[in-house]
Amino acid sequence: MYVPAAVLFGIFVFYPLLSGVRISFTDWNGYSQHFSYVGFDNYRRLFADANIRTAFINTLIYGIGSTIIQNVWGLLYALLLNRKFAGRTFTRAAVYLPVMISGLIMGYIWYFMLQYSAGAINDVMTLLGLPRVDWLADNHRAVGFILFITSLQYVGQAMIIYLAGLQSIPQAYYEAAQIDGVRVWSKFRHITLPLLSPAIITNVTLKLIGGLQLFDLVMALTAGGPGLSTHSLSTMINYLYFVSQNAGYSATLGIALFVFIMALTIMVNRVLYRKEVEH
Amino acid sequence: MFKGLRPATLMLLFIALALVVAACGSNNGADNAASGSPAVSPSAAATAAQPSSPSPAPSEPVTLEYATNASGGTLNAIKAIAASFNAANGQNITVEVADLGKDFNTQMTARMANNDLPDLFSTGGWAVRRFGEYELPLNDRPWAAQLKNEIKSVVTDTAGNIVALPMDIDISGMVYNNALLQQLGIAVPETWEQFLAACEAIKKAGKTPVGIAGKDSGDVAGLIGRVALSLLIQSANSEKEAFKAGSFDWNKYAAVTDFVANLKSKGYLNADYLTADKPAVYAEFAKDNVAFAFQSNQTIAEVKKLNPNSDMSMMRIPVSDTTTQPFLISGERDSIGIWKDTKHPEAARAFVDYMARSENVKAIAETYSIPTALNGSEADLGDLQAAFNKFQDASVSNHFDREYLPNGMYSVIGTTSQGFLSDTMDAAAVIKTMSDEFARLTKNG
Repeated sequence: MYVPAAVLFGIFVFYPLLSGVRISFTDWNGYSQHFSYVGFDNYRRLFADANIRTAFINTLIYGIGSTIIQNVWGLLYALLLNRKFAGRTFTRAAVYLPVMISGLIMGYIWYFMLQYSAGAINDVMTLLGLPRVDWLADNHRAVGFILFITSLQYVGQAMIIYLAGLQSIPQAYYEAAQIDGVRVWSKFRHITLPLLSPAIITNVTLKLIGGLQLFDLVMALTAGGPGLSTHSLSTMINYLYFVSQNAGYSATLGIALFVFIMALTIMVNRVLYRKEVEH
Repeated sequence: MFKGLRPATLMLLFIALALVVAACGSNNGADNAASGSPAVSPSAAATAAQPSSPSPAPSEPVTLEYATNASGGTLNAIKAIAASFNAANGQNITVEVADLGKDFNTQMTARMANNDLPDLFSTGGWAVRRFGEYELPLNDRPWAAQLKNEIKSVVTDTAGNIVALPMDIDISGMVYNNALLQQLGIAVPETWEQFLAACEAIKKAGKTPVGIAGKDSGDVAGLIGRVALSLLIQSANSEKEAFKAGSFDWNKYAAVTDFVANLKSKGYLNADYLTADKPAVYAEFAKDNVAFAFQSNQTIAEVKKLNPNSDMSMMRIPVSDTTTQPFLISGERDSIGIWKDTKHPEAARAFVDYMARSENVKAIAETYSIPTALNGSEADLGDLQAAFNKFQDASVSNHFDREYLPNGMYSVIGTTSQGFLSDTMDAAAVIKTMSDEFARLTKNG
């Protein structure tokens, strides 16, 4: 029964992975028919490379930072939009809408807003008599913008999952708590939060993987600059392969990123599953 | 079929399957590297060795894929030429132009990796260094004798094979805003001393002396390439021979980083020099806010689109001493190569020969007002005609990276320079990276 799926998995996942491992032991430039095997040189270099270290730290900021922001923000949206009020459907749609825009488009939209000479934000500042600011010129601020924009874009996804989770919690628990005179915060802490654990696990896993693989937004907004200071590991892999013509080293980084994401996801899932509550 | 097998056994089966596929699909690069033999297939070698032959019409209809990175007017001209070729050939040969745009580099890299290239492709400045391994020699074509001297060497590999048809020559230096210089009474500089004095006067007038699109590593590489060519090659203490011998002392590259640091510290660069893209720089030129850019003549055409009344021109690249003349850069721009393993070499040659016709070469060269690459076909250079006439005897050099550095260094120049401008790399780190990458890419060939 599962032979077709296994064959497809083998061809489209396992074979490329194996090829990646093989390339990571070469000095291949990415296009020539000539290359040599260099043993573990690329792996040794990986741990001493300052640019990779910067990209790794950025990746943690994009991955873990956006996971925290989107989960907290998404849960707050879900709690608010789970209540009945006029315009609820419109608000839900408005929050979710950016999810449907490609990260690349979102990056360009924000680039045009943050541009120095023709950016919308600087135009407003000029109108207010304030000096123009080159928002993306400072690498720390640029990393902050990337984190904020990716969180803003995908918070709607977290909200939808939390909304589904909230609506699956039986009302009987809340009614019983109401009768017992339980306060709002206690209801949230002892009923909502534990019973939302499947939604939390789903959201944390999805956001963590998405954030750690962040690519398109970085490419459109900063292209990894200034210098190489805002690269994520994913954009660095692209840079090393297609720009730096160092496919062997790029593959090494790809393998390292794969192992890192897999290890982190397994670890986080184990921790969260231990705390899962069923109803 | 696999019912009853343990997961571990299944995993072993997958590994075996993957290894078989990997073994079948892998290229023979490792074998070649190990044996030291060239990677050119016997069939390609035989094709390359074939004597000159006419291009007979194929007996069956043939479709050729022509991948190009051309854009704007050049792309339109290429499409028009392909359409007229298709019409002239009836159903026999059809050329389909694949407009890859910004994906050109990525897609061509992937296709070279798979040794599965389009029948015809633009070589975009890299006919020899990047694509040379995959191209059919074209020495026997009738237009080969017409190639202008300044471009012939650029498309000829070390074995003496002409590997692409160049249609135009990208002659450029720097671009400047003539209206702004005239308004401020500044003469076009010929030495860096004059250039820096001009920058100071422009800055004092509240304008931006130099525009850089720092978001685009290619633009920063353009600046550094020009400065390096002037300070390290076209100077009294030229390092030309050291570069050619691979023995250049990279500590001397500090002259280039010092120059850029000076431009930056004196406030001669646009305020958004780290984040501006090219359209942002064009827009400032169109508003007469910027005086100089280390860019090709394409900038003049782009600024004209924004402000038809703009008065922009081309200047020679200044030099550091009076014993050397300011110079221009001459390089490949719009060229076409044929994949050495194409199934339709005769049809591909027929199309390239058609492209080499005087009217076609002229049409492509005129889209960016640059000279044609073939004698006997001269382009109308429009507003730049006077500048080209003025500089017809100027000293001309190939691009710094294309002539003196291994393939791949262009991007290294760009990113190290971006790092230097943004203070994320100091001069020592830039020099070390340049030196290391020079060694790596030279080794990779």
